[in-house]
Amino acid sequence: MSAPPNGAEPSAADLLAPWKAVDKLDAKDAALFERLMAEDAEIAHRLAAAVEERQATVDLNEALPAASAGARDALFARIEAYEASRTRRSGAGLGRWLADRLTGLSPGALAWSATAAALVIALQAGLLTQAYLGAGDARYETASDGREAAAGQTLLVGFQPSATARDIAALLAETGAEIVGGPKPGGVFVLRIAERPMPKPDLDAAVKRLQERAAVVRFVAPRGGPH
Amino acid sequence: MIEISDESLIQRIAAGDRAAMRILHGRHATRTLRFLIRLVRDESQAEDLMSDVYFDVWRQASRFEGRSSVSTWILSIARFKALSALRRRAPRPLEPEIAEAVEDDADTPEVVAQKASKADAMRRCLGRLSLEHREVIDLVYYHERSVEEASEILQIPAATVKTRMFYARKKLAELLAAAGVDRGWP
Repeated sequence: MSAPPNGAEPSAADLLAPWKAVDKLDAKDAALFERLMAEDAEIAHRLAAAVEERQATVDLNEALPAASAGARDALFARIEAYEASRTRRSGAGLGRWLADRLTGLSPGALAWSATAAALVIALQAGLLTQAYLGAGDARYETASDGREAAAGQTLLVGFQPSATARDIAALLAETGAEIVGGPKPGGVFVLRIAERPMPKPDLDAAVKRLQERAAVVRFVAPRGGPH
Repeated sequence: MIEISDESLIQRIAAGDRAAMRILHGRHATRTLRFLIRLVRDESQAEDLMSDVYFDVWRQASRFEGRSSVSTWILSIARFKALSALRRRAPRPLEPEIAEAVEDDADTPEVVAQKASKADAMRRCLGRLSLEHREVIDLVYYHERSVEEASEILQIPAATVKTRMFYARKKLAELLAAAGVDRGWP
């Protein structure tokens, strides 16, 4: 088989020879190449040319520098700095986590669930009468920015759009919790569930209890720190 | 001792395992660096790009889906970084595509042929290929990528990989012929 004239389509053997040279043909093409070689002795010379090119390419690359220890150390320093920065931003990360979930809710749903919870805050602040909710002995306190920053164990909570102010107030009364902050963007509230920071198992259990109140609570997440 | 697979290392990296990252880096960094040097033709820039490549590997390990080998995935990232860097920088006056068209009075093909062996001439001509041709040549001959793997890295159909390789080799033969080395192919 002679070489294709300029402009002619390359032969199958010419197309496959480079991969034959590195033993990277799939089974079908490998069988085809073997058959073509058996039919035309010239193809062995074509393969030899590809092997020669391969060796020159390997030699060229092997003459290039290897990766340096300095570059490796710089990379790992960069990774450590990134991870340290990520840890510091964990609070902001939680915010993004919440934002991602809130994005899936319609503005109307967000508005209503936020309105119901805001009503509870107003009740906590004593702006509405206890009679509005009927009988109840929950002790409400004023929500404020100062209180939000106060010590204690807090959670970030979103309420279901279908939850009424009565539902929310009942939940708070049952759990001994109080809303101390919010609404934040997306209708998120800060809920204080204990006067002191809780051990992780207790905190996880408290989160689980709230999650089980799915008719009222849309999501709940531990707070990553003061925002 | 059983070597941990690249895929297992990636899983561990996704979980934040620095030791796994060091092993993977040790395995592939030099080949990655050489691929980058051949693409951007600047060792310092290639080293910076390699840092970017492995930083992405660290951050994106959890997104690795295993549709290709890890080494093919890394070469794909490297190529993307190199092409982005080349797009950002102004064309250099003696990029090979341009240099090919310029007569070199100091080192004519005949002189090259006289003073260099065939292998030297071959390496010299490999260095003068266009970006498109040298990347496919390197991916097949040095990085030993299959047609399918090269197709994934270059983001072109498998049939195009084959024809591009053919024309890269044809161009290499032309450069060699101009340097006085006639290989009788193609």
